[in-house]
Amino acid sequence: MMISLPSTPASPATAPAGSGASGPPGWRPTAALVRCVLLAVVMMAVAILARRPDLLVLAAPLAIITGWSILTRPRCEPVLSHRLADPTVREGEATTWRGSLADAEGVDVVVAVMPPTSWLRRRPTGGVVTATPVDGVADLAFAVRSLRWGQHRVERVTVAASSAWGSFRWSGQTPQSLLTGLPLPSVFDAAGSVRRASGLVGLDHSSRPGEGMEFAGIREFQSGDRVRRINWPRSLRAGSLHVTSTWADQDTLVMLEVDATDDVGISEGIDGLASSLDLAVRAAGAIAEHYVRRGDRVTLRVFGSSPDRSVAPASGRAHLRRILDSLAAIRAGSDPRGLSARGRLIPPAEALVIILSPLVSAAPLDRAVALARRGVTVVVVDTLPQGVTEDPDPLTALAWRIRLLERRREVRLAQDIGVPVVQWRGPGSLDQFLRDVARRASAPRMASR
Amino acid sequence: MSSAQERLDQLRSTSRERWAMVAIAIGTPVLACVAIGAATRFNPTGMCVAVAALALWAALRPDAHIDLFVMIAVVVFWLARIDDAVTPWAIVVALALLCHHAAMSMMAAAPHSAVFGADIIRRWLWRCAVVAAATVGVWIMVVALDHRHAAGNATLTLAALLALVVATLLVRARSVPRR
Repeated sequence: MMISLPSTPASPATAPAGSGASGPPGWRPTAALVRCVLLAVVMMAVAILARRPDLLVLAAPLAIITGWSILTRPRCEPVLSHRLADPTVREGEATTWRGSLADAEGVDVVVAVMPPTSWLRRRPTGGVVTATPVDGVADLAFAVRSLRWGQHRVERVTVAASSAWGSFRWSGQTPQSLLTGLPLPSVFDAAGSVRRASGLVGLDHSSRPGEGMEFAGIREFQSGDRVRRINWPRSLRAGSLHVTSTWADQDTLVMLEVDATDDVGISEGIDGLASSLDLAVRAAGAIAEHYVRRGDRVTLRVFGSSPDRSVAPASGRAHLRRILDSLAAIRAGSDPRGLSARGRLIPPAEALVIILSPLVSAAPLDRAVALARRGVTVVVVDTLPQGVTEDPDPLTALAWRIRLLERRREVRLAQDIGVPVVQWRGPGSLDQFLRDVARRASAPRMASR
Repeated sequence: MSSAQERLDQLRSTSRERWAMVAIAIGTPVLACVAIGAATRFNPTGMCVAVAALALWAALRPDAHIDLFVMIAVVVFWLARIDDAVTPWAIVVALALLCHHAAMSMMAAAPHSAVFGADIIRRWLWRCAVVAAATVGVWIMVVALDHRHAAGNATLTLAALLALVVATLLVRARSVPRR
């Protein structure tokens, strides 16, 4: 999408040195032209009045430059347009900001300045590109790399065009652009499967026969069986019609709950240390991608972030994109109500609830225990980063140690009740939990409703 | 971030082309003063230091009018020291002023970290060469006129001044944007 912009005066903070920041848009004379004209006129006047022809020699370059500048002055207003090659990238990936200055007849040099933005890395690193118009069009390009998931604003780019000898200058600014950095999911795989499903599209097979791909057995033909299910070799041998029966393909409802009330630890983007929210978002993305690819339905709830970007249960690649978009829009602590805001939502009993939290407060564990008591399968993924307690302030370090002791007790209590709490370690993090769930699925259970 | 840190970062990110232009912007007025000193056998050290300091200040703010004072200082020094109207040192000083002006204009056109492509630098060098050739032509014309030892003429002087005024008004009309 190309956006044509009216030219706007440049901000002094971001403009190239001394662009005509104040005053109306358009081509404006620069200090260089003023200097040239003033010195040339005064020196030639003195040369004539004082009979000093040598001053004419000194004034000659300035007078020639003045004439040259006036004769080659650009006549029309340039048109500035810009676009982001891809407004959505994965964190760590780069896209290109492209600007174009059309109607640049008479323009000598075009300079674009992109101010620095947090979590975005520009290339060239100085944030300045220069270009020369070809056939009246100057093309400008910056490579922009997203260093962290989230919605980043590419700052206004100031573009300044200069005429020959830098005597006239035009400047304009582009509006901000939004670059969405989708979380780069951690590597995740789960060997275990959850067989407590209700849908009919997933990879898991249920305990009852139905339409599906997995072989269950061969039985006699019954009214309503599809003709294509008839097993002809067996039917010929038996003398009566037999059909191949299958297990019904079923899906799992996976409910991801991300605790964004706090962001603990230092975030250095994709190339450095990860904060608790970094771990939670990347883990949620990985789990969602894993289950969506299996055909399961995945839903997302975010606590502590405003506005509410919860995603309803569904499956498919488009749904995965919706989940990643919602994860990218998380702003830690922007909803002070935290888990109390949407914590009363009760998932269906057959759902698999995965709560991702650094467990800095007891609220996520309380919610997990409440869900478990209702018979919901729930697991808590601990996303507290390592070394978070190492603080130069001894009082802060002491407070952290005390809180971690309390946290350890809370986790133990939750585990005693039957809520597993696992540390996020990427592939296989949930394997043991899923195997336990599969084992328990066949056993009778008692739930309070 | 402190101001000193910002300046340090700015220095670090300054491109090689910018450093070269700063060197030209400071060196050429000093070269002009040295040329004036050589023409008159006068030690211009004090003037060189003063002009270099002024030029450094101007190079830090290339789009301000500080540079005007650098060039005025050189011209006044020339007027004060040189009596020979046809001295070839005029070419050296004129070319030094040309290079200084070109470097300052180029610096004002872009931030300190801008990297100019080879095509842009070639174009500017070609323009400077054209203007330098025209300046040498003016000097040859001045020398030729000086050899004629023509007497002063009030009418011609008035006509020249009028032409200058008209040219100035024309330049102003074509450069200042209409409101």
